[in-house]
Amino acid sequence: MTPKLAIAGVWKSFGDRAVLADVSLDVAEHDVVCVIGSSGSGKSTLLRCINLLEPIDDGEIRLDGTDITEPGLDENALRRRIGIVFQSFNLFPHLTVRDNVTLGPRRALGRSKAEAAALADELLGRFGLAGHRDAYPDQLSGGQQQRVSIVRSLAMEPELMLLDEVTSALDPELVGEVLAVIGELKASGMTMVLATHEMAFARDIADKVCFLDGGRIVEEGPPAQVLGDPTEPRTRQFLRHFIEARRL
Amino acid sequence: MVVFSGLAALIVTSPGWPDVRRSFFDGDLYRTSIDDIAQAFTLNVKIFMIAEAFILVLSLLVALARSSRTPVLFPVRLLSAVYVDLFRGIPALLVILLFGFGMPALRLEGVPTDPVFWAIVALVLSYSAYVSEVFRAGIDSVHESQRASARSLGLTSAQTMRYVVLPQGVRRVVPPLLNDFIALQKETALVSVIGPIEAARRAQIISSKNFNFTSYLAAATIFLAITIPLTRLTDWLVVRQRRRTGTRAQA
Repeated sequence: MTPKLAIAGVWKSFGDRAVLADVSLDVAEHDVVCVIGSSGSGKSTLLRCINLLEPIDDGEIRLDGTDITEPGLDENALRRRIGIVFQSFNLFPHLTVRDNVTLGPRRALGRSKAEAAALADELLGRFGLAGHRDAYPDQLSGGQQQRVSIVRSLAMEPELMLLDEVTSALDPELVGEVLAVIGELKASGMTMVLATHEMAFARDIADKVCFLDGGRIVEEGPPAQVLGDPTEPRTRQFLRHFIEARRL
Repeated sequence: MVVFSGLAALIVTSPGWPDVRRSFFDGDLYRTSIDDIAQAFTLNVKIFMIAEAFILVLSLLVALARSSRTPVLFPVRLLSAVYVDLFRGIPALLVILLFGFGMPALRLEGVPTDPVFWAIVALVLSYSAYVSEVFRAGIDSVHESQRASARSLGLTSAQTMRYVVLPQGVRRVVPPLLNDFIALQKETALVSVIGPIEAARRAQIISSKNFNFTSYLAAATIFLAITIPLTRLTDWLVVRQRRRTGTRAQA
């Protein structure tokens, strides 16, 4: 069966620094893949490349078997199929919560105002944000903003979601509510790639964990193996910090 | 306060004061001239109202052209950069003289000869160069992550500009924008150099007829009556914005 997302031999450099070096990774439909690694290991860049926010230097990224990095393809149409949520939320500060959520469906998908609003209200309700739909982003807590940001992506009805360290900018007590949302997405069958530092969460939710170091995939496999019994010394060294901090 | 009263005392006790008072502060002449000048001032109002509308449109277009990133638009980018350099570099007075005397002199079929028309054209061209830079600063001030966020939703670059970048950028530059408009309202007096009798020119006529400068003072108060409220409005907007960005720090 063709994987939902197939990354093969991807290279990406900024200047003469290789950020991604020969990265290959398959993501099956409905699977959750967690990419772990220290800051600067290339996790974010990998996600940005999948979303075509960064052009790659070499390799291919296939979505349902079609290489989306081919020049001449409609990037906007492809981005509509792939949702991305950023570490710093990046909500639109001049728009209300509901307008944040309806902007994409209305302008990129051409939905009517009423149709987009109905979908937005339904999603906001589902994620406990119904009471905040007329608020502006800066009136919300970080956790609420991040949930809105996830809803904004979901409103585009993406086939694949990329979550880039979505809990890293949050106060510890707000992390749980966002992780709960991700858990719910998994239950609904969403295909997701997560860059994360939440090892315990990755162990619970991931179908596959992959450890990125210096732009290379050092180890990948089921979470129990990669996080519980890694074969590579580098992975073990990386995970030791989390075990010592009792976060795994 | 002390400084001001000191200055006032110094002026009033100066040897030339009686003459100055006669030629600058003639109460009767002030009262008789202010009506005339106020009437002439309607031309200033007309000029800046029309000019401001066109300046807003033209400067925004120029700013958008300069902020575009598509390689295809390179000629447009170059053209707008040349325009801004040119018109920011020439004094508005010279632009008014060149257009006001030059264009009608061409005697081209269908080209208006009305000096007021050319004065407005000159002010629009001159001020749009400045104002476009204000808009551009606003556009540039919107963080890159906002674009990334909009593009990731599948919005085109034009939609991203229209719905995400511009609304935020323009809001941030409203105070400097109003500042430029206050300056423009005063600069309408420059129009007099090519003939039209606006407030400053009317004051000059009255002055030379009476060998007295009080009419200039009358003209000055009329300008102040318009510019001071606008200045206060600008200050108020700045304070309000600072307060809002204070409580709404995280975007």
